[in-house]
Amino acid sequence: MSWRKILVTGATGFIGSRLCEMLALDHRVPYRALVRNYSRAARIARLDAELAPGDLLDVASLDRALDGCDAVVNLAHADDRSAPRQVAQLVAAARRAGVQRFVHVSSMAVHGPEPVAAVVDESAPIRRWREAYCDAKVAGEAVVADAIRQYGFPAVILRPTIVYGPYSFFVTPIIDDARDGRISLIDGGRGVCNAVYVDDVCDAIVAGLHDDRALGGAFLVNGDDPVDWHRFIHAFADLVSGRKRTDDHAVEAIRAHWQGQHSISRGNLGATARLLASPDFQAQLARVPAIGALLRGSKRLAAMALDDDRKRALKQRLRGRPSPFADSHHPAVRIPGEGRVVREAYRARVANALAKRQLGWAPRHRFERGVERTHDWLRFARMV
Amino acid sequence: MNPTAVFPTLRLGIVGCGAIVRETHLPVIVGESDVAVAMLCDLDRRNSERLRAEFALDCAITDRVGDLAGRVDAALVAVPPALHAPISEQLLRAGIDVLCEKPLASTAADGRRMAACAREHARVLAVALMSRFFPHNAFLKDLVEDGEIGEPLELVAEDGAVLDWAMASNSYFDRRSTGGGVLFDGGVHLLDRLLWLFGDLDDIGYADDAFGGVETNAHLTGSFTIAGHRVPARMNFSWSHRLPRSIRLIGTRGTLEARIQDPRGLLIHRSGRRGPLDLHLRCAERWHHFSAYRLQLRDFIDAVRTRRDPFVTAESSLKALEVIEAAYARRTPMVQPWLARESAR
Repeated sequence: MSWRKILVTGATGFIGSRLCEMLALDHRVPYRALVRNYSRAARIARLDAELAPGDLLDVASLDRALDGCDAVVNLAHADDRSAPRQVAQLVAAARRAGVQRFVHVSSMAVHGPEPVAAVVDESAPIRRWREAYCDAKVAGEAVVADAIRQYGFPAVILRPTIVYGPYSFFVTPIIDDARDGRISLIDGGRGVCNAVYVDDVCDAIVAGLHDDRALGGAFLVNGDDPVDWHRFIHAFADLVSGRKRTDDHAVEAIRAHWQGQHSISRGNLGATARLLASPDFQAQLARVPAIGALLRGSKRLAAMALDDDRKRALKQRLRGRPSPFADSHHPAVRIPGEGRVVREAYRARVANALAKRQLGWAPRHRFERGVERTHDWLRFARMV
Repeated sequence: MNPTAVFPTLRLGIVGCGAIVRETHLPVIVGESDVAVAMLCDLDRRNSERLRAEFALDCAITDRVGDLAGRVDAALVAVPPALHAPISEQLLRAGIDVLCEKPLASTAADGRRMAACAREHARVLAVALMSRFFPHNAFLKDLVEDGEIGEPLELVAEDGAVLDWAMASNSYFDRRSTGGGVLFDGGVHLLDRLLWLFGDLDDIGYADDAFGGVETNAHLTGSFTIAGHRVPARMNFSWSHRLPRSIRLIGTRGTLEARIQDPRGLLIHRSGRRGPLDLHLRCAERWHHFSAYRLQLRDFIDAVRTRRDPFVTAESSLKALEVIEAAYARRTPMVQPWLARESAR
């Protein structure tokens, strides 16, 4: 089946940008990329395709963006709190527009952060897990599943696992660490990684768009190779030359550290600092003229007092990202964040048999090949 | 001497009230006592109103460029590049001197027409290529010509960072608004400086990563004639990842490096008897983030008042546009092997 035009939400993100590249260059199908923040659109602006301004929380912009589209790929996930409302508004707008196919990209996280079974497949329980990201994905998926049940909404749900490849935020921190002379593992990297190459996820999305057998179904999308986090982290860290020290963190020690850090005042201060440093928040706040003037005045003072490298390091510190300017001779021990613990203490292997059977899809990339292709990009981006 | 003692306050109009005006131009304009913003012009009045409120400006607001005639002496044009030519020409014909954002125009032909229009109407047309005001420029040229690094062997100029510039619209990426991507918009600063310092670029070769849209990575090659030597040049620009952000001139006796983040300094890298040696030269006493913008504004005001050519003339800025056009005409696809579709296993 060929579509008149596909609306891609989350098009400026890691998977969305690669999907746009593949739709334009490999499949040559017309699509429209929904763009909330043009600052992030440079990668997809390389392609000869339509960029439409819009926001999943702005219903009018969704109606405009859907005009002339008969299929949707939903990859947007801005923040955990508003995610369910975003999905609900998009599904409602898609129904109004008479969309004939809706591929909702969810996550393996719907099956929870610590599954009990050794192998997770689509029959594994889905419920509220009291973990913000997992619960946001569960709530988003529930909106789509309800629409399928109630209205026969022509949707397909995909649940990718750990998606890696060029631009991946699972890969670049490993490279940053390695460049700082450090490899960071959790429990020796024994956790199961469930790595899937980004192009394979995009292939699954395209299969979801085209294969009628997939309609109404939900599919886990994982690579074929059993990969643990030790292998995953070393595969990329070893691309960086030079000596590295391995910091192996026990899960219990990480949890104890963060519990200690989570005193109310410290948590509030840290969260406020990160909120103030967030560009989106600043943009909103700057709309109040007096505050906008104050913000700009402070930035100007900082601009005069600091050189560019120091400014960037400060920004990254406020945003909670590792600084690339750490002293490489004495890399400080950094305690992994709680998000990493959720990912890297995972013990279950995620199945992909149902997707292979019903979606007519199979991953094209063995893990080594995915690493090789990511390496090509890392060299291009001068990261290794 | 206080300039206001001789000249009345310059009435400035601003056409285009987006991020570049808010972040870089207005902070220095409001700090000068002999210039006053008399009118803000933007198709979207909300942008003008926001600027007027944020900077507490006592000025009129309009959405029509024609309203500036007779009400301002000079204007800053900071609209998308495709509109630089029609708007600047309209202002110049109305007797208004213009400081135009870079690049001068979408095409060299438009730029030449703008320059001719300024001459015909005896108006100042300056281009906001503020890195020409960097103190280390002249020292870089002098030191290489004085043989400080021996015979120049290669020039490497790079500027790359993840694009995170605040954008109110699609104009950066829309071919109807802009003449290109990272080479045209960001690369023009570095390219203009090189052409201004070292003359023409010959043997142009070019590759970028665009597929019908605007490029995010660009690789330009060619050769300059520096201190009597033919010097191969490699220039890289990126909106997707970090690059060194500098001009490096590699010679037989060492390397001279002018870093964008250190406009008042120069580095000389040498191999000494005891190993690598880095010398830092200070080319100016005081410098901060807004210094180049302030020097640019002061130069424009002085050019308007004394009816002289500005430091960055339209004619001198055309060279970079011509090289960019030549590069785009010779475009080859950049190698991006991770994009090739993998065959089934």
